[in-house]
Amino acid sequence: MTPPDDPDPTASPPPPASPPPTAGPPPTASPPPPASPPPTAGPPPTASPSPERPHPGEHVGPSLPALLAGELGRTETLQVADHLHTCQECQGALVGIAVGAGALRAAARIEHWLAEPAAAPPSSAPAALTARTGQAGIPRHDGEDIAFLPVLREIRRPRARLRAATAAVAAAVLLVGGILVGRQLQSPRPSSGPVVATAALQRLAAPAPAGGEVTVVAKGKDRILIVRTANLPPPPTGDFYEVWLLAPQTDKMLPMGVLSPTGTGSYGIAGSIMQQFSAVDVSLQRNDGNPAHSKTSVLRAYY
Amino acid sequence: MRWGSARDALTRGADGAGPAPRSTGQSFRAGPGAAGSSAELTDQRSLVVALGRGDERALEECFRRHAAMVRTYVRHFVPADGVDDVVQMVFLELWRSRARLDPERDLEPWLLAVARRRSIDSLRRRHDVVDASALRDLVGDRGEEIAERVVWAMEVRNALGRLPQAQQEAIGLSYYEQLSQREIAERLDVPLGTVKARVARGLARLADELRGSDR
Ligand SMILES: [Zn+2]
Repeated sequence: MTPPDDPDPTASPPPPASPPPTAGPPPTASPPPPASPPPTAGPPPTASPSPERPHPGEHVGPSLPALLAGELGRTETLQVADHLHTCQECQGALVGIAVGAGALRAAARIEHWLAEPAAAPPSSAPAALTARTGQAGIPRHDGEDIAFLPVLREIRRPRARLRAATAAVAAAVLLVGGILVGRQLQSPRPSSGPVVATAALQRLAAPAPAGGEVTVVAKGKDRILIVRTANLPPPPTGDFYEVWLLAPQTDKMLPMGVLSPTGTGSYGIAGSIMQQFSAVDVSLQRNDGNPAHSKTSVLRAYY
Repeated sequence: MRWGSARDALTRGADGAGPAPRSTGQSFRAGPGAAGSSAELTDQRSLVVALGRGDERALEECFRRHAAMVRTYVRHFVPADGVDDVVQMVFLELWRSRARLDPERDLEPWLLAVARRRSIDSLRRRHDVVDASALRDLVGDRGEEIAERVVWAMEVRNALGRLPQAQQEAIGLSYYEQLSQREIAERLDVPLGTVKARVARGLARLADELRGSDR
């Protein structure tokens, strides 16, 4: 019976709270394969007295976790060993217990490692955000993440009530909100509110006649970005055009969505977020699963 | 199908039965809301199919199920003020890729792979000082392997969540909080023999749960 991970340090005392994968689980040590040794049904102590040989003492199933954890003293360890040598039932139980224990040790180890604060929060982080994310290493997120959802739902209703949300949450959620709204507006509608900005799309990597324009329409506090391109060649098979907001000074980018095959698209976004950007960028994206901007900008407009 | 039982667990919802009740708090379980999700979105396959159809509720459901895991992962690498951005990017990417997702495959590894790339982007874009070890842990084989381990850890957590409460408790204290069995007995005010029995039975059952995800 081999424990799942690296040679199980059973002999060591309960490890302190931190052995990170740095030390432990380099490539070779893969997670314990679930479909490994256990026999037929499973090893719960279904009492069928062991057949052939008599074995010393009672079944030792309950002592096996302590054995693996190095919590048994000399005498007890040897007693358990004697029994195990002769009792098939307890041997079977050992398999399941070792697999369970190995899986848990691997899980606990990576969780402890994750809980270490690798990335120090910058001093500039708003107090609310820092508090929410619990900078002290132990992540607390029961419910915290769930808190995104009501806001996300709100956003799908016509009148989003975002005032109560913190700026950080609102900003984050609006990203997803942007997707949702964007989808609902797949076909660019004629402006349903005052036009607050228009700008021509200028050619970057796109071939000569390509161009187009962007229009920003106000809808309460939200903005609808309407992109109409012209003479953009169809993207190579599998590739696609994507629209981004860009803040050229800081290189900050926000993906807005894919351009429809007709070369148009409209995307909803909060005005407060839109303000943080000053350009619309159209990129040619490869269908390679890489979500980042491809660095191939075909058109750009400054608004 | 190694990830199966995680999917299973998340599907059934955490029904309030957290792993180690008052453990260190970094459990990956899906929120209490997972249980109440609409019927046709209960298994991950239908979820991905619905996502492919452009069903917004499926995106919400994915977020509800997996945001905690993604966030825990991202937070380890990316400074606090960038975490929300990265998490949202991941789900944005999920939405954009919805038509290309394979319903036969589990979402968690996919989400963490995207989370990893987005975290790398985020770190590289930063102008302030970035922890070099964070980048090292994200890039290359090592990064992939860590992501895989995180998914596995989540699966173990979820399998644990399907055990009887008393077993969860004893095992949580033993393996996540690293108390000795004697300490657990004192903490819970039960005989040592009871702790031994709960841990032994729980581990055996956990192994079954982990193996049995394909059934
Ligand atoms: Zn026996």
